Amino acid sequence: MKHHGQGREPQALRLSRRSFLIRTGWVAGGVTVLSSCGLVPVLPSFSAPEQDDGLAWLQMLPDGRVRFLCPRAEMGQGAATGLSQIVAEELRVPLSSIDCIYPTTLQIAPAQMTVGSQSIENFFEPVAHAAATLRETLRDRAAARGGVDRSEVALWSDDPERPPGENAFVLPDGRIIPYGELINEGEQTLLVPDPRSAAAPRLSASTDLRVIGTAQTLLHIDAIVTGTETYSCDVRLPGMAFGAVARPPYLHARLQRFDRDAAMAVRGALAVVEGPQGEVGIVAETPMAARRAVEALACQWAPLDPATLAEIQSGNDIDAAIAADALDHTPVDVGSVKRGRANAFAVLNVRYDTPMVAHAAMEPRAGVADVTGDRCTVHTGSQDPWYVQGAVARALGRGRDQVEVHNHRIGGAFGGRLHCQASVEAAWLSKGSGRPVKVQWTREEEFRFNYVGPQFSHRIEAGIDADGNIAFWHHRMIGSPILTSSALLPRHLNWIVDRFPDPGTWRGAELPYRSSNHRIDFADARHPMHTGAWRGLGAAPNTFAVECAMDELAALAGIDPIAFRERHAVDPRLAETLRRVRSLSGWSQRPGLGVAAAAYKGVTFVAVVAQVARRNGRAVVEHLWCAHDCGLVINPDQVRAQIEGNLVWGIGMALSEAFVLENGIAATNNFDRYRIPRNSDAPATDIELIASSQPPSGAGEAAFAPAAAAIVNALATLDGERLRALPVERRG
Amino acid sequence: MLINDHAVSIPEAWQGATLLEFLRDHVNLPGAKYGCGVGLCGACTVHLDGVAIRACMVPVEAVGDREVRTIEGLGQLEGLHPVQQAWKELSVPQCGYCQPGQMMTAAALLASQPDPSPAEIAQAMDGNLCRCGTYVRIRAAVQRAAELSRQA
Repeated sequence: MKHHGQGREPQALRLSRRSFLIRTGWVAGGVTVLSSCGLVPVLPSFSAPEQDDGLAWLQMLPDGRVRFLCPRAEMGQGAATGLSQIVAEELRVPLSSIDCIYPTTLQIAPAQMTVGSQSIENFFEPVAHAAATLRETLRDRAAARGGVDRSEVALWSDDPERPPGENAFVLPDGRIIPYGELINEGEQTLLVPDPRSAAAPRLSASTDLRVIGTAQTLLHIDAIVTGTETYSCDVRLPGMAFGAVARPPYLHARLQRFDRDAAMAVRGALAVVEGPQGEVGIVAETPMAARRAVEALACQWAPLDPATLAEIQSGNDIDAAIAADALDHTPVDVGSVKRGRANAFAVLNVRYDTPMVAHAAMEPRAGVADVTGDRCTVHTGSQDPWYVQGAVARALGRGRDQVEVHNHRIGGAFGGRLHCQASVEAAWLSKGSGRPVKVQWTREEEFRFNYVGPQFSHRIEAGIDADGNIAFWHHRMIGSPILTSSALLPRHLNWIVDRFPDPGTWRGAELPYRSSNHRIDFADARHPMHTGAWRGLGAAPNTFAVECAMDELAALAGIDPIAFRERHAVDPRLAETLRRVRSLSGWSQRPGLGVAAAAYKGVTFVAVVAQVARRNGRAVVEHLWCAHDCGLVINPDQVRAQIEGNLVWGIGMALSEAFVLENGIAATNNFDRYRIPRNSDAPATDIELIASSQPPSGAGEAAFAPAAAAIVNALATLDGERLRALPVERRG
Repeated sequence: MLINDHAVSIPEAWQGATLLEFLRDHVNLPGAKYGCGVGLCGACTVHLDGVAIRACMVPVEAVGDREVRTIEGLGQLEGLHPVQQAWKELSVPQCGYCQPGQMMTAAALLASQPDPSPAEIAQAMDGNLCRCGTYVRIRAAVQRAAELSRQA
C-alpha cells in the first residue's frame, strides 16, 4: 500500500470524476476508502488483483450496513459467501450486516475472470486488506470524534464478554460510537487512509477468528429455496421480445440463403435480423413464434468438403504425434530420462486416453439485451462479464463504456461460461428490432455450439530402480488449446500463441512425486471443434494419467500404492493427505479398493480412496473417502460442499462422459447422449478437511481428477486388468 | 387453470406453448427452470394436481382446468415448506439452478409417502439431475423434510 498525506485526518478526495463514481458502484451516502494512487485500477481479465484493488469494492453506509460489490461471478462455488465472511471478519460485524451485490461492468473496474478456483486464493488478501483499511479509517474518525488518540479507540467486539452484533467502537469513557454514525447522511466521500490506518489484515495472524472458519449457508439461500433468485434466463424487461438464431447442421458451415418473407409471415414474427458474422436470427413476440420463424427461414448451408470433415473428425493420438515428431513443447526436463532408463530395474510404458468432454451445466446459457440510442444494457451469466462487454461492443460497433453488463448468478459454469454468446446475439437482435430481446439457448445449442474440454492422449514411460524409487518419468501427451482457446481469441492470433506452451493444457502433468529424471513433452493441436476450459483444465486428464501410472508403477515395484506415493511425495502436505485417507478409509490392498492423489496447482493437496463393485457387469462406486488440505478454510461447510461435488464429478469423468462428433455433427446433443452422474450414482462419502494455517487455496476443482483416477485404479484391482481409456463405460 | 391458486387463462398468442414457456415467459413465474426441453433432467418439475410433472413436456392447452403449483407457490419466506426449510438447513444448493425442480419432486414424494425409506428417496430423486453434485445432501434433506413434516 502506498501512503500519501501526513495530516491527522483522512483526506477527502474531490469527486469531480463522475466516471469514477460510477465505477465504484456507489449508492448515495456512504464511505469508501481509496488509495490515491491508481484511482481506477484497470486490469485485463487475466490478471490477478493487486492489494489496493479491493478498496473500491466496499462502502460503509450511514445505517451501519456494508455494501460489498463482489468482484467474482457466483456459480455455485460460494465465493460471494466466503469473501463476505472475510469482510465481516475484518470489520468485526456479523455476516448479516453485509449486502453482497453483483456489480455491473461499469460499477467496478474489470476483475480477473472467475476461473481456476482462485476466488479465495487470489481475492482474500485484497478483500481483507480493504476491509481492514476501512475499519482503521473509521477508527480515525471515531478518535477525532471523541478527542482521543486512535490507540484508545477499541472495537466493540474486542471484548468477548460483550454480546455480538454491535457494529461500533468504544471510547475509553465507555461511549459507544456505531460505525454508521461516523458516516454523514448523504456523504459521498473517498478517503485516503492515514498512513497509520493501513493496518495489516487480522486474518493472517489472528487466532481470534469469529466468522472465518465457521460454517455459513449461502448468502442467497432464501431466494434460491423460494425460486426467486434471478439467473440471466429469468430476466424480463418491459416490452421484451424473444430471439433465436439459425444454426448450421454441422460445424463451420456457411449460410448460403434463407427465406426472409416466409419467416416474416409467421404469426408473431417481428424481425429477421442479420448478425455481424453472417448469422441470421429472428425476433418474435413469443418463444414459439421465434422457433417457428427460424424453421420458416429454411436456411441453406454450404456443404462441408471432405477435407474439412476429416479435420473435424481427427482426434488426438499420442503415438501418431510421437511418430510425426509433433511434440514441440518441453516445459519440464530435469536430469536425464535416458540415463534414468538405463539404470531402471523395471520399466512401464503405457498409453492413456481421455475424450472430449462437455460442461453440461444445468442452465443453458441465456442473454437479455436492450439497445437504445447509444446505450446497451446486457444481462448475462458469465465467468468474465468484461469479456462479454467487449464482445457486445464489438458486435454493435460501439465503445465498451456504452455497454453495461449485469452479471447474474450462473446455473453452473465449470469453465464453459467464459463467454456467454447468447448475450451477444441478444444485443444484435435488439439493435436490429428496436426491442429488448432475450435469447435462450436450447440444450442442443448448449452442447453443440460451445467449446468443449479437449481430448487428450498420453504416453507415460517410467521406471523404478532396485530400491523401489522412481528412476525416471517421461510423460508425453497431445491435447488442444485451453487458455488460448480459439473460441475466445481471434483466429489471427493463433500462430503467435501456438509458439508457446499453453499452461492450461499441461497443468497437472508436473509430477508431485520425487524423480531425479523427469521430462514432459507435449503438443496443443487445434481442431475445428473449439476447445477450451473445462473444470480443472489440463489438471483433469493429466492427473488422471499420472495417478494411473503411479498405481501401475507401484504394482511393478510390489509396493502398496499409498505407501509408494507417500514415500515419493515432494510436499509433506501431500504425504499427510495420503496418511489421513489411509486411516479414514481403513485402507488395505484388496480387490475393489483404489487410491489416487493430487497436488492441484501445487497448492491444494488431495488424496481419495474409492471402493467399487460390479453389478450385472456395470461398474458401481460404493464409497469415496477424501482427505483434503486447501490451507486456511474460510467456510468449512462450503468447502465440504465443493469436495462432495468434486467426488460426484469424478464418477462421471471416470465412467460415462464423452462428447462425440459424428459426420461433422456433434452427436452429443442432450443428456441421453451425455451421461452425467445421477442421484443413484452418488455414493456415501467421508471427507476430512485438514486444519491448516497455510494461505487459503482452491477447493473447486482439486478433488475430482484424483476421484476419477481412484475409481479406475479400484476397478483395476477388482477386474484384475486395467482400463486405460476414459470413459471406462460408454453408457451414453 | 389455477396457478398457485390464481385463475389464469391462455391468450391466443401463447397457444402452442409448453407449460414451462407459459409459466416462465408469460405468467412471469421463472422458478421452474428450462434444462433440457425433453423431460430428461427434471429442472422444470412442477405439480399438476399435486403430482410432479415435467412442465417442458406438457402443452399448456393440455392443463385444462387443473391446478398447477410452482416453487413460488410451495412456501413463502415466512412459512417455508418443510422441504424448503430442510434444503436451507442442510445448505443443499450450490449453483441452485436445478433445486426448484429437486424440491418440487421431493415435496410430491412426501405428500404421497410421508415416511420414505432411503431406497424410495433415491428412486424418487433419480430423475432430477444436478451437475454440481449435491446428491448426498439432497437425500439427507428429504429425510430431514420428512422429520420436519412429522413435527409440524
